[in-house]
Amino acid sequence: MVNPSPKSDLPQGTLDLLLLKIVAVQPTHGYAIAQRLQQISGEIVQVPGGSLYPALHRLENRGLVKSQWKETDNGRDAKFYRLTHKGRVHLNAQAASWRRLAEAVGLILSLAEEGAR
Amino acid sequence: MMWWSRLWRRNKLEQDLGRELQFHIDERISALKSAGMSEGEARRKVRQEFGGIEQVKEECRDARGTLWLESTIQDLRYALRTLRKSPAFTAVAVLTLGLGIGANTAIFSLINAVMLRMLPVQHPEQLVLLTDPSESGVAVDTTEHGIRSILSYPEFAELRSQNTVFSGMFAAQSEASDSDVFPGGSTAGQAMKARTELVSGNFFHVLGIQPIIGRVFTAEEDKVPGGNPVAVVSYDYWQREFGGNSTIVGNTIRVGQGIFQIVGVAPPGFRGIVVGSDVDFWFPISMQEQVLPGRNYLKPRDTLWLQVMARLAPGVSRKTAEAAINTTFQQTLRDWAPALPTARERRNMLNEKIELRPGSHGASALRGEFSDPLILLMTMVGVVLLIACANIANLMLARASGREREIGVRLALGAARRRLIRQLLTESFLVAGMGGVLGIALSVVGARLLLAVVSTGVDELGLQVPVDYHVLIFTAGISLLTGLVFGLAPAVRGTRLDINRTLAANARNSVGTRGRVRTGRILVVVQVALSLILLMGGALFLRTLHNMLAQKLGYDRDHLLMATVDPVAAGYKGASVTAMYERALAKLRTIPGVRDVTLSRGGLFAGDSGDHLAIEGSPVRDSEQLVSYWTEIGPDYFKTLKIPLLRGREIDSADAARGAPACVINESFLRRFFPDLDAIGKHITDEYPTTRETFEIVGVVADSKEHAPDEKKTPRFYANISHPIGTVGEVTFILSTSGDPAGVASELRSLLRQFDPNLPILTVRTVNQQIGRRLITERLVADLAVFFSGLALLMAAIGLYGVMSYSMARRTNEIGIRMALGASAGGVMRMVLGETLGMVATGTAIGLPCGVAIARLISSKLYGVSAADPASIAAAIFIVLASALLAGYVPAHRASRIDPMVSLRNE
Repeated sequence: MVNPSPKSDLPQGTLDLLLLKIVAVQPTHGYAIAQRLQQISGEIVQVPGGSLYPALHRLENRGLVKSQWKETDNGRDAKFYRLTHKGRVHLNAQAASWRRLAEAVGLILSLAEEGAR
Repeated sequence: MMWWSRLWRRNKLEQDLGRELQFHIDERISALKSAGMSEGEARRKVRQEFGGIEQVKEECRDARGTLWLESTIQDLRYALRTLRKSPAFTAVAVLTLGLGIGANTAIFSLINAVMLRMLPVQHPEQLVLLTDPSESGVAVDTTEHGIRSILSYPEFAELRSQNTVFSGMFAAQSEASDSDVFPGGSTAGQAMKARTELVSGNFFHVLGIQPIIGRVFTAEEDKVPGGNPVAVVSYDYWQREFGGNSTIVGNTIRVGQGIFQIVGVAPPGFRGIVVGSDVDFWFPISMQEQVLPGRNYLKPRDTLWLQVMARLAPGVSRKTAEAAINTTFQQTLRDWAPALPTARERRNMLNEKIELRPGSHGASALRGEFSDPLILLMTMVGVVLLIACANIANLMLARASGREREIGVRLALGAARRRLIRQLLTESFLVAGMGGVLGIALSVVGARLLLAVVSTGVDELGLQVPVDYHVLIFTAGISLLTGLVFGLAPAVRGTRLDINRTLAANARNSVGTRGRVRTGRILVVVQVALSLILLMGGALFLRTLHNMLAQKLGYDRDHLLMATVDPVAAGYKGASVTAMYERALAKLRTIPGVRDVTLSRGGLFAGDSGDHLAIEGSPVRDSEQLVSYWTEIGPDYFKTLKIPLLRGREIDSADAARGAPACVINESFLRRFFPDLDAIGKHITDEYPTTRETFEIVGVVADSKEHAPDEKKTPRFYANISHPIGTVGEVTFILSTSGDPAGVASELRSLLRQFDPNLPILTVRTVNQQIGRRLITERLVADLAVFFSGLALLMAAIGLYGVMSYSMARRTNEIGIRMALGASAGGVMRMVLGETLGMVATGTAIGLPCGVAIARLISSKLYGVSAADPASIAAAIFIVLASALLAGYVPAHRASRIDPMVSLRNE
C-alpha cells in the first residue's frame, strides 16, 4: 500500500499550507480535500484521515479556516471548510516564503550537482 | 467561538466530529466499491488507512485547544463517579490523608505564626530591628557586651537625634508588663489584668498604624516625663473588656500610679511588634515612672530596657544604615566610657555594637525557643504524611487490579495510555483535595490544641494562629504533592497492561497481581522502617523529658513553694526593704504546714546572673577564668531547700539584719578557686561595671542545679540579699512545706495581701510547676513525637493489614491446594505470619541504622540518653513487632480457615 506518512514526507508545516491552498479555491469538505491533494499532486501526496482531520481542526482553532455544515452534490451533509481573511494573509505569506525556500534549495542543489560533475 | 461557548457546546462538537469522520469513511468506502471492491474489502482497507477512529478523534479534540479543560472536567466527573461507587475506599483514603495533611498544616500554621508572618503594618519589609530582645531573653539589664539586644533610653534618644538613615525610629519596652488596670481611675473597683507597653510617641506613625477610633500618640507625646497621661487600647481588648463600646475615647483607667485617658483604639490585627506577646494597652514612654512606679528608666544610661526598631529611608540599604548608626553609637559610647572603673570594662563597652536585622516579622522570644522544636515536629509530620501516602498508594494498587478489565477495554478501544494515566491521577488529586480540605479543618482544631498545651506552661501565650494564604498555599501544595506521590505509581503500573492477556484472563486470576503485591510489600517495608524511626525518636524524647523531670537537683524540689513580689513598686527603698523581708518571713512562717521560709532574688528555675570576680588567696590568675554565677539569698536558704552545708555556716538572720557582706560558695567554686580547699574567711569581689561588692566567705555548700535540669557543675556564690549587688528589684519568698506545697498557695497569697495590700504579687508557683514551665518545649516535643509515632504506627499497621488481606484473597486457590495436600491450619497461619514478620524484619533492618543516624543528628536535643539508646531501640522494635503481629493475625487467621473444597470449586 502506498501510504507515505505526511508527517515524515512533508516538511513541517507544509500540510497546513497545502490544506489552506485547497480550501482557498473554494469551500471544501475533508474527504474532497484529501482527494484533491492526491489528484493534483499526481498521487504523490496522500494524507490519511488520521493526519488530515487533526490538522483541519488545528487550523480552525487558529482561526485560519472556518467550517459550516452544507449539503454535498449527492445530498449528504458534510462539513465544509473555507478560508478566513486571517487564513488568506497567512497563506500568502507562507506560500511566498515556501517558494523562496524551494528556489533557494533548488539553487543549492544545482550548484552542488555542477560541483560534483 | 470562545472557549467557554465551545465548552458549552461540547456535546454538539462531539457529535459533529463523529459525523464528519463517518462522512469521510462512508465516502471512501463507496469510492472503493465503485472501483470494484467488495463491501468487506473496502471497509477493511479504509480501517487500515484511517487508523483507530478513537485515536483520530482524540487528536482532533487535542487540536481543538480546549481539550485540557474539557477532559479535566470529564475526568473529574468520572473520578467522582468511581469514588462514589467505592465509599469505603474513599472514606479511608480521605480520612488518612486528612489526618496526615491536618497534622502537617497544624504544625506549619504554628511555624507560620511564629516564624513566617509579617507584621500587619505598612511596608513591613522596610522595617529593621536595631535590637532584638529575644536574642538574650533579658528584659531589663545594666550591661551587655558585644552585639546589643536592648538599649537604654539615653542611647535611643541619642541615636534618634543623630539619625540620617531612617525615615523613622521608635522604641518600645522590650517586654510588655502584666499590669493591673482599674477602670474609672480609682483603685476601689475590680482590677483587670492587661499587658501594657511603653512606646515612644512616634511608634504608631512609623509603623503606619491608623486607629479605628480616636487617635494614636503624636511624636510630641514622649517629651515631658509624666506629662502625657494617654493610652491606646488594642482592638481585641476593647472588644473583650469594653464590649466594643464606641464611646470608649475619653474614658479613664488607672495603671500603676497614673490615671490615663484612652485616646484611641488600634486597628484589628495589630497586637504589637513582638510575636507571641500581645499588647492590650500602649502608653507614651514619658509615662514610665507612672506605669512602673519606684523606678526611673529614662535617665540612667545603664538601664537597658528598650527594643528599638526603625524604618529605612528610601534608597538606604540595611548595610549603609548599620554603618551610620554604629558611628553614632560609637561616639556615644566613647563619651561614656571614661566613667567606667576598669580598663577591661572600658574596652568591653567600646566593643559594643548594633546589628540591624530585618524587622518585617517583628521580634519574638518564641522564635528562638520554638523554631528548632517546630522544625523537628514538621519533619516528623512529614514522615507521617509519607506513611499515609504509602497507605493510599497501596489501596490504589489494590483497586487498580479490580479495574484491570475496565482499563484493558479502554486501552483496546484506542484510548491513549497517557490519557488514562491522567484520568487515574485526577482521581488521586480529587482524593488528595478532599483530604486537604479535611486537613485544614483538623489543623484549626489541632493548632488550637497545641497552643493550649504550650500555654499551660507559658501563661497566656498571646499568639494568633490564623489560616492565612501562607497556610492555604502550603496545604494546597502538599495536597497536590501527596496526590502525585500516591497516585503516580499506581496509575503508571495500572495502565501497563498486556491487553490480550488481561481480556483473556478471567477476573479472578488476573495478571499483574504478583507485581502489584510486590509493590505493596515494598511500600509496607518502607512504612515499617519509617514508623520505627519515628518510634525511636518518640522513645528518645520521652526519655529525655523523663530524665530532665527526674533529674536530681540537689534540693527538695517536691516541697517548695515560691512567691515573687515587687517591693520597689510598693515603695520600699534602702533599709526598709530589708526590714520588710524580715517581717514578711516571720509572718509566712506562721502558715500551718510550712516548715521553713527563706527568700532569694529570682527564685529557682528563673534567670541566672554571673560576673567577673576578684578572689583573695586564689591561685587562679586568668581573668577569663575568674567568673562565677551568683544568687542573692536570705537567711536559712540552705536549710529551707535542704542543700547540704559542707563547711562553715550559712547566712543567718543576724547577717540579714545588719546587711553583712557575707557569702556562701558552692563546691565547684571551692574546687576551682581554692585547690587547697581553704576558703572560709577569704574575700571575693564581684566586679560589676558600675558597682563592686566584696563579700566574706562564711560557708561551703554542695552543688545544686538552680535554673536548669541540665545545668553543669559550675562555680556559684550565694550572697546576702540584704547586701545587694546592684539595684534591688523583685524578690521571691521560698517556703518549704511538710505536705503538697500547692495546697499552701492560696494561704500564702492572702497572707501576703494582708501583709501589705500595695505589694504586687507577681507569681505564686511550686518549684515543680516552675520546672514544668521551663520544660515546655521538651514536653511538647516528647508528647507530639509519641503522638505522631503512634499515628504513623497505626497507619503502617493498617497498610500491613491491607496488603496481607489482599495477598491472601489473591492466593485463596494456592492455600486451598496446600490444605488439600495436607497443610494444617496452624501451618498456613505460620506461613502467613512468617511473611508478615519477613516484611517487619526487612523494615527494621532498614529503619534501625537510619534511626540511629538521625538520632545522632538530634543528639543536642537529647538529655541523659545516647542516640543509640538500647532501651529506646528495643521498645520501638517491640512495639512495631507487636503491632505488626496484631495486624497480620487477622489475615493469617482468615487464611487458615480457608475450606479447600470451596476454594477449589471456585476455580
